[in-house]
Amino acid sequence: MPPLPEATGSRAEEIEREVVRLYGEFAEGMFRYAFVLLANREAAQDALQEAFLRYFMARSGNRSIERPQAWLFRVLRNYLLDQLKASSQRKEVDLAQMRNYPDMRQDPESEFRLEQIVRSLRELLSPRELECFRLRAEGLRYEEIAEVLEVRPGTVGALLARAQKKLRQSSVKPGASGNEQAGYPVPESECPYAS
Amino acid sequence: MHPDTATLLAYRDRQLSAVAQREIQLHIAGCARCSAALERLSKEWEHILAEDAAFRRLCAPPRDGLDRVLSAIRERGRAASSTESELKQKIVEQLEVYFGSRIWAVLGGGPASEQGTDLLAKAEPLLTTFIGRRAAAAVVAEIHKGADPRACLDAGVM
Repeated sequence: MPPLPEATGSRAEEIEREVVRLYGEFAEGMFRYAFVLLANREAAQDALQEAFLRYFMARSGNRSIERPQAWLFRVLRNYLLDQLKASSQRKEVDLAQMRNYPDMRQDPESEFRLEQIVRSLRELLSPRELECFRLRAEGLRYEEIAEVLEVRPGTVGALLARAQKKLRQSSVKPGASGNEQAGYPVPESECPYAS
Repeated sequence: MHPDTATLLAYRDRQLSAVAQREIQLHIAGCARCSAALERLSKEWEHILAEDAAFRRLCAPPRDGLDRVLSAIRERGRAASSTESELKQKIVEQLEVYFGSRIWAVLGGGPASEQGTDLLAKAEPLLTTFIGRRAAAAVVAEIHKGADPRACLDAGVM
């Protein structure tokens, strides 16, 4: 790693340690959230990096951040929305783009499986439901999800209920999204909505 | 009245207010239908999370992700530091044009002891005394832009 510039001093080092700690706590969840939205590893990593960089800049400007997880996810989301908007203006096809960024860490079968899961989720859930589900699965509280998505906590509950229902219903039509393994099938016998 | 699915999910996730949480708890204790629905919803969610575990295993940030973040932070820090030094140097040069080297005694402390932006903030009132508020603001703006404030003279600001 490059040395810390002298001019930034101990305050910068202190914030940097804060970033390292937060990265350890939240980076994986943030990466998954970004990946589900962008379906592109490199772009997801760039977004993650930008969010932590903005955190560093905000804290360097003496800004107090009470709920770092929600703050990081909100900044990440704003960045992702900008990227998606730009991508849409360039008429890019994100899933096709994902194949152009092979990750040497993953074997092709795993990458294929991952692509299927993401495609399945995106076909099954509306963008809002998908975001809500992902944030909840990453451990954010309703209040925090509401802050990230800029909606009321009550809306979060409704979105999650709809998402869970759709995920359950996907088991009724296995393979509807192209592959049985790709969805989140729930045994019908365990399903509260099964008649 | 039975709680809807969203309320049951929020109850399961302990996301309701203390009062609402208690109300639902009491209702469920006396309602077999809602109790069963809650149990099924919980199992369903556990199943979904179990499925999500596969996604979690497959979808992880690169191993050098943190290094990349720290490199970006340090790069930004160096850039900011460099901009700050350039700004400070420009302020020192331009203020000495107007006031000579004795300006540092007036401002309290030498130029090396000040951050560029702080120095400019201290100097602006002094500039205002000598050349007026509008001209001082123009000089400060020119220094921020990295331009030579003497251009303000040509532009007829002073």
